[in-house]
Amino acid sequence: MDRLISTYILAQTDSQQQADAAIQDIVRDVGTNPAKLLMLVQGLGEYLTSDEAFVRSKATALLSTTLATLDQSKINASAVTVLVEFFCDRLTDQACVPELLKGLLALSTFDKFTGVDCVKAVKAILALVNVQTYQQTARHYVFLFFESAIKNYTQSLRSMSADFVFGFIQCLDGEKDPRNLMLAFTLIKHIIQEFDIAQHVEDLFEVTFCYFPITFRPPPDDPYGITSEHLKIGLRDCLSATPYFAKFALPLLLEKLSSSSGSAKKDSMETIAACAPVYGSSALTPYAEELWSGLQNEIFHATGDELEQVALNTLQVITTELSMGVSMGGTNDPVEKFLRPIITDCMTQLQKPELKLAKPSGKILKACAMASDPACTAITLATIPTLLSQYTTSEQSTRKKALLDVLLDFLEASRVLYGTAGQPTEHDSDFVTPLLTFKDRFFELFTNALLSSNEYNALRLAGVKGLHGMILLREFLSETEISYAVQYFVRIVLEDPDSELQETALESLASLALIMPGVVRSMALPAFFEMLPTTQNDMEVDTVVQRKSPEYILNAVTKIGMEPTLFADVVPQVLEKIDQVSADFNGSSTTYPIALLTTLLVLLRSKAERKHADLPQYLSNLVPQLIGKCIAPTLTQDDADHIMKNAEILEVVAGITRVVMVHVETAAQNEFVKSIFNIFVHGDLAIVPAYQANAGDVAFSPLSAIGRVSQQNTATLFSTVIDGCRQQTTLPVENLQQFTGSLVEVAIKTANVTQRTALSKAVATILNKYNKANVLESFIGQTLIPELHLIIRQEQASFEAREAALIMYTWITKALVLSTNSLGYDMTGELMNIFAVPRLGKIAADGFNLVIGEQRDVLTKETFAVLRLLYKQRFFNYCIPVLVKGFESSKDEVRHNFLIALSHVLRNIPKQVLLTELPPLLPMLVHSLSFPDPELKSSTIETFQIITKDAPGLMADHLSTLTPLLISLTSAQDPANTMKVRMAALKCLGAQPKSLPFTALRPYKSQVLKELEKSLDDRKRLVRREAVECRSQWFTLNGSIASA
Amino acid sequence: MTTLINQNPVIYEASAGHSTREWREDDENEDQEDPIDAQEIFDLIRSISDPEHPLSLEQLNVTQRDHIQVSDENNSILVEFTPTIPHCSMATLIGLCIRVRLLRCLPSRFKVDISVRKGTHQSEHAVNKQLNDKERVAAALENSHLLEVVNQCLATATSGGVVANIVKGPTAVN
Repeated sequence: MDRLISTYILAQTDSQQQADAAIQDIVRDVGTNPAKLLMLVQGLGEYLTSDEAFVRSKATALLSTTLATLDQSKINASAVTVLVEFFCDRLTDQACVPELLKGLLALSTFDKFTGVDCVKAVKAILALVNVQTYQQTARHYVFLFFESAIKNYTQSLRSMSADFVFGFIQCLDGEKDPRNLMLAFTLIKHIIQEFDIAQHVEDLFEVTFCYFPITFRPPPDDPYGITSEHLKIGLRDCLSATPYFAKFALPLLLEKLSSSSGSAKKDSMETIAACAPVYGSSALTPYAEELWSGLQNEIFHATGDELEQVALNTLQVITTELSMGVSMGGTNDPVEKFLRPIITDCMTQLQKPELKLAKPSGKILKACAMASDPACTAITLATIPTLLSQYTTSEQSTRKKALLDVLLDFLEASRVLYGTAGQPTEHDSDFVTPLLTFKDRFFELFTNALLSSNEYNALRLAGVKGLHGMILLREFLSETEISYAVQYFVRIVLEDPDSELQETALESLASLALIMPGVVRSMALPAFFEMLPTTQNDMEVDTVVQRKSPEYILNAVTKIGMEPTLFADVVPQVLEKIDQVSADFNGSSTTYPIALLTTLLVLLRSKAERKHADLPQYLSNLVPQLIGKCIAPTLTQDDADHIMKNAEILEVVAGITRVVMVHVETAAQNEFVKSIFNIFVHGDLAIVPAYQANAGDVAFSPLSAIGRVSQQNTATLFSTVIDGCRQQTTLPVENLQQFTGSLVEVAIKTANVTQRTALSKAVATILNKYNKANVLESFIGQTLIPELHLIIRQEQASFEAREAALIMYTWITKALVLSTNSLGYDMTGELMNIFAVPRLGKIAADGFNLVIGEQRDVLTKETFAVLRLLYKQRFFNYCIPVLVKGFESSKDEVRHNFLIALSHVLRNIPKQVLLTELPPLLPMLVHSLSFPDPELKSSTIETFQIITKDAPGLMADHLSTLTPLLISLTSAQDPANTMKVRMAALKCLGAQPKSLPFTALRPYKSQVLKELEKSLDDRKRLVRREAVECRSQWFTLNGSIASA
Repeated sequence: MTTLINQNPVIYEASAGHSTREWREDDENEDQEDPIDAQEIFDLIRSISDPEHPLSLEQLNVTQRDHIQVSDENNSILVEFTPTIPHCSMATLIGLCIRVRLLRCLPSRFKVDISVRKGTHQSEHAVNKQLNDKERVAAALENSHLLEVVNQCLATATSGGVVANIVKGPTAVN
């Protein structure tokens, strides 16, 4: 032990390691056997009394560190007392103070540490340590010790309450370090709550308030993470901790409110808002007038929305607080007294409601009215009659509209204060808005505004908003009135020509649909469906009368039909329309039926997003019915034209099937999949819903390469069902390999592209999902891939078959790359080999988009595909070197394909990965800008735009090559520079001034501005717009204009 | 707080960043030429900020589409603007902002005339003369303080002119 001690003490600064090792050994030794603590103290004896301050301090440090680390449960009470005494006595030794404080802090956490010890220590610190003369860490120990003391020994400390508070104030006085302040602020709050501060209120306030407003700005690489916001909130908590501070704080806060700094103003207002509830109405009342005059400035002459909002909020809090004040009766009621000048000022402004200051006046009245029932009542009674009579006498519709806007503010205030219709409230039923007195006038006013034939739409808009606001008020409008309002909305949606009005009315209906579905269901939905055409004739009449298009009406239905009872109503009505339409329309006019079904799809998707519980039930009725409707017309003898055979319709039905299916549990999926397989694989028509066999009907064989085209097309539905399966769902086939093999065979043989794509997707899904524990591995590797290879490479085979095989091959590659199966990478390599094959090369290169791009429909996370973590990165890491090598060793014609593949990969890769791997790829990217392929060009430019934004340094290095290239791409002379290319190039150039340093761009400024002048005269408006945008970015670069 | 020349101006509804121009399929047709028209000029200047208020020229009704005349084939443009009050000392500055914006955004083949709308300003003639005198405009822009003010007013100018989407019925991307 002694040896270790001496090693430690004598260690020079350069053998710090040795000292550390020694200290660790000692700590470990004492830690396991506290009896040795005595030995340690004895061993340290001579050093603790050394003449050299350095040695004493070091010895103390050893003792403190040991105490801080050892297992304290084994130290007995008397030892603790002795140690505390020892440490306290030594506090006179200034050199050791920091280490002693550390030791005391450690002791204070011991179980055997008592209240008596605590008081002793606190007294010693307050008496002997002049805290602010020590460095930050020592001060930090003091505050930490106080924290621990207050937390655990409040009772004991109360005995010396006044002394402690006073002592603490002295310790804090002059503190500047943000870490210590954060701690001190919480201590102040505790002290205020736990101790009697009566004698020291002013001192405590002064030592706290001197930090207001906080101007601290953390250094850029601050390791402690303390922001000025933390300090502000800490300080605010102190100031709002006791009502005793009120008389000191309020005048000072008001003074800071008139400061010129925005952040000080904001801080003042926020602090006032935080303090008001604590200080109480009696403290606020004397300052009411000043508070109003200070705050109104921030609202009437607001410099920003944020400050304005803070000011309004503060105003509201003050009003709330004053409302709770004891009423002295009548005119002296504090809140009324406070509100009187506010109402007068605002009403003065509102005499000219179309001017700028009217709007803030409305906001002020709203904020105050929101504060409390008495405030709301007072304001309502004082202002509404005047506003109403002003409205009656106004002729100008702009003025009327501005007045309605103020009334809208009142409605909103009432809604916040008194509750929203259809939502639970904690208030009594007699807690109602004072607006109730004016209900009829309001209703009349807003209705008239809405119905006015005035061409000033803003007035009518205010009418819609007003009625909507009234419906939303709890216990306000009667059912009859609500249904009137809803009717007006419906009429606007269906008849009004103005789109803004339509939208607002529709939004109102949509929000009502959620809180009162009944009225929307009985009034809006029937009216909407009424307007939808049922026959081909209806469609033609439509253009003559100014009737809304069916697409428009259906769009409206998608906005309101989400709520379960409403949706349950929508489904049969849409299906009925579909039946009527498919009976009457010829097979080619599909826009309307597509819109009908899309309505269901959109609604189902919105329901899925909101996790509606009624979604799964539609798998057992809606989905089979739709599938049945698609199958039936393909069975008739004549195979006549029919709407439900349309490819786009099939896509929408597939979409509906998918969204419902993925929200259904495995058991129900199993059952559904079984029936689908029975129909599609075994041709069992008996279970097709709503299908009645007719004489002459043919068999259903959608999965055959030589069947009817219309039947083959329905394979889309089949593959969607497989795609929607959960991984646990079983496919009802005896031999999955054989089944998959047969699908591949059909896909290659068939001449039907729709069927081929569908089957390719089905195969990919099966191989991705059902290759658990690699059960299909040998099948894929030894049977499937070689067979496909053979066909692709067979030059005498028909091109179609080779293309089909390649497409199947690409899909399988995708399935395996997603699950990071090593076969997938081999196949990717093989795809690159195909780049050199004439005609197939381009298809293979474009296939990379399929392989790594995210598909919106199949093989997604939502449809339970096996997506391994970081599959994109792994693919990227595999691909890029191979692509680069292939590019370098290829001939020009083939190079193009490598560039295409590269652009697909880059576009689909996560940005972080992209940016780290980019530098070696830049030459290739620059190269692809010179190929006359618009798609490739615009995609590459987009990559450059990402680089500009996220890796400006990299971009800056290549400006000398890139800037002229990009400029040349903005020229409309070259037909290869399509609109898309020109716009992308302009966007990319325009992104530079925002991201790159001025010094890097300066050499190009005049060139860019000059050359882009040509784009200002581009023949396409959209390009001109980009040119304008781009040039204004360059003009403001350094704020000077070169050519103006 | 400094006193403003017009403390409490009338505010008009602006179409909130959306161009009132309807989207047409031809907009994306490479071969269809789109001539520069009054709407396009209006979209360029509507969102310029007023030097006094954080409001756009459109909101203050200083610029209106109907007060712009364009002839693409004759390369001429006339923009008339209406100061908020007849003694507005900012009129020249507003005119200068419009001038600079159009200088930067239009091909140089156009001759742009900018003037105060007849009868809306006390010293209409003087303002017009100043705004259409090339040398005086150039001289004004040499003044770096003035240029900064102009650039500030123009900073919001690009926010306007977004093409409004037309309702195409319910659309679902698969």
